[in-house]
Amino acid sequence: MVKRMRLDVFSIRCMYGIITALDGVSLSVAGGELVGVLGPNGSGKTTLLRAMAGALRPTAGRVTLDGQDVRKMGARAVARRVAVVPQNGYTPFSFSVRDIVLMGRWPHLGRFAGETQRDIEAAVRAMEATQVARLAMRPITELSYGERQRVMVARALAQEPRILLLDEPTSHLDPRHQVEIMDLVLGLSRQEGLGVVAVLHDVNLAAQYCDRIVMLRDGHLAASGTPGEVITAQVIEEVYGVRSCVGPHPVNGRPQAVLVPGLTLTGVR
Amino acid sequence: MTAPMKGDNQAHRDEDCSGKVPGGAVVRQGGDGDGKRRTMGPASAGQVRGAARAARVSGVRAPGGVRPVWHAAHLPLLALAVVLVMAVAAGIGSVHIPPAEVAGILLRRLPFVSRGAEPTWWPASHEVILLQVRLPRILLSAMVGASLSVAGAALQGLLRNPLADPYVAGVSAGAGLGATIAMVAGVPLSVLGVGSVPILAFITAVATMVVVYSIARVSGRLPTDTFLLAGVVVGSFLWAVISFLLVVSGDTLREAMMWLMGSLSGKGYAHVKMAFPYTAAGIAALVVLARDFNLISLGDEEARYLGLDPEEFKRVAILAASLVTAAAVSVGGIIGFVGLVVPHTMRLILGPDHKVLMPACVFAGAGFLVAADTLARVVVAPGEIPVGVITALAGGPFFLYLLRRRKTSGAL
Repeated sequence: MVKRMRLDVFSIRCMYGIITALDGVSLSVAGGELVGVLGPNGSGKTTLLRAMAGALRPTAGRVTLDGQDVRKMGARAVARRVAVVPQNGYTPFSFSVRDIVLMGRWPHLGRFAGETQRDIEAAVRAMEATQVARLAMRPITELSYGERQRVMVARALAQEPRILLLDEPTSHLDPRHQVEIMDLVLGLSRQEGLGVVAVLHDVNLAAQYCDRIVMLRDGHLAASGTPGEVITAQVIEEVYGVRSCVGPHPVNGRPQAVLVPGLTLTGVR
Repeated sequence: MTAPMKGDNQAHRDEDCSGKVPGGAVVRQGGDGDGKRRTMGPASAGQVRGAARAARVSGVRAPGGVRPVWHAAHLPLLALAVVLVMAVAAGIGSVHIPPAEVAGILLRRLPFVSRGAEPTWWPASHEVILLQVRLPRILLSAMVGASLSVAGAALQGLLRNPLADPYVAGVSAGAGLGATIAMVAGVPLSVLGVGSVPILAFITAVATMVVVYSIARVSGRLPTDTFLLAGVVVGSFLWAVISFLLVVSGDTLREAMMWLMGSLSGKGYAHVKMAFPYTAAGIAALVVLARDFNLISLGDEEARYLGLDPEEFKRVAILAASLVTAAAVSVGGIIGFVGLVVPHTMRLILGPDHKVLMPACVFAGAGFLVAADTLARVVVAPGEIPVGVITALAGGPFFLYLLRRRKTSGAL
């Protein structure tokens, strides 16, 4: 069993210029856990992920990986333990899928060392797990958004991280691939002790898979807890401003929200 | 030999691919969306394993392969081609020296082949022409070509913009300013045995990079588009200053124009010695950083997530790129198109992997400029054309052809 790690966010504030994107947000994820981050557009979800990965310096508070401040660890040291699947990857250069996935090994390689058999095996395993192995030699520029998204998940897995941060990993995927990716990360967290934080748009997908859910609104923590605690008609109306009915999933009893037409904020009933 | 056709467009693409796959084992099930890949029956599971195995073994000959199988094997071929180009170039000129003589003269210079005072079958004058006139110039053009190409590849990868090159970034204009000031002010051509014009050009080139860099820097970060804009603006400003200086100076106009259009005429071993340390150090740094260039070409954010600090890397890479550019411009003047066309062409042929691209640009750039400079000195002999004119004449149309050919795929 590989060592489990934990990532803790202590009451951070993040600012872009004079705009506060995130304020007073705390969050913890331990190995073996799957935490969902929900919230409307512009509520600070991606900012939270960037700060967790050490790519953004919080103006207050701090982010620690097993007690060590990520901003003091150096990008390379963080990347050996924390992998990020960004929302929109774009490169104008036609790298093959294999090249892109192998780049996930970069933080593990020495300055003058080439990839070893072990690195290539890690990349191949990651490609097989995400169903992109047969695209290995295709240029990334010729793939569909859904395929690219799976390639980026493969690259993150090739990093062999202890913490995995996903920014809307299923936004471009069809139902089958959504379930595949979520099953995959759930399996990794359960079997290999990976700590996973996933920014999701789909409330019901989050309720199905996550151990805990964090709701953000205007950069603040609006709600946090188990799916049963967070996915309620009241919270959804507060956070998203839409009416919904929440009932148990017919198979596993997890809460599932069904939207009711008509916005509460505009008074249309 | 092709996959089941999904329509004219699809059939076309599959034909394109299958031509490069030995055995015609096309596994692609269609490149137009996720919808056609739902089924993962026994057959396609086998294909997945096949692809994985192929990827594991060598990274080539995988199903659906679009990239050429021979990209890494090209490097020794390119190196050999450069040596051949240099040998042929050494024989061409107002005095023709046959290839056997060229080989004989050069081999005799190698320490372990040297036979001392043994008689030779070639006239002594040939030996002087080859070793004292042509060889330094060939070495210099190889160095300049390699430098400009590698710098172009570096800037294109760094800025994720295939239009970037040392000239867009403003370095060349910076070097040009230094040279113009030296010529207009009548600075003595040689100080302590080293050309003063190149030294001044070198200083202003680096200074220009510092200016562009600090203009483009926004609160500790270096955004790509701002950097390109700053480079273009500073470059245009410096060109205006250069033009002004040239117009008011009058009598040195021709010399300055020749230099600014790029020319290696009248250069000797002194210039080779002067440029070599900078060129070698800069190229070595850029080749060693090849893997990092792959990461940065995914964008700052992704590079950061993969463990590369983008700001720190940009500083190092820009310094190395401006070093080689300044060295090249200070001896060869402003030779256009090499830094743009060579990396671009190599990327189209060999793919975007900088581990292959960087060394390929060293060889291809060297060979390209040696050939261009040879043309520059023989086409209107005994006169000379600035080599920058040759590179633009040869490079421009070729570049257009490549763009046209790849226009359909949209990839670079």
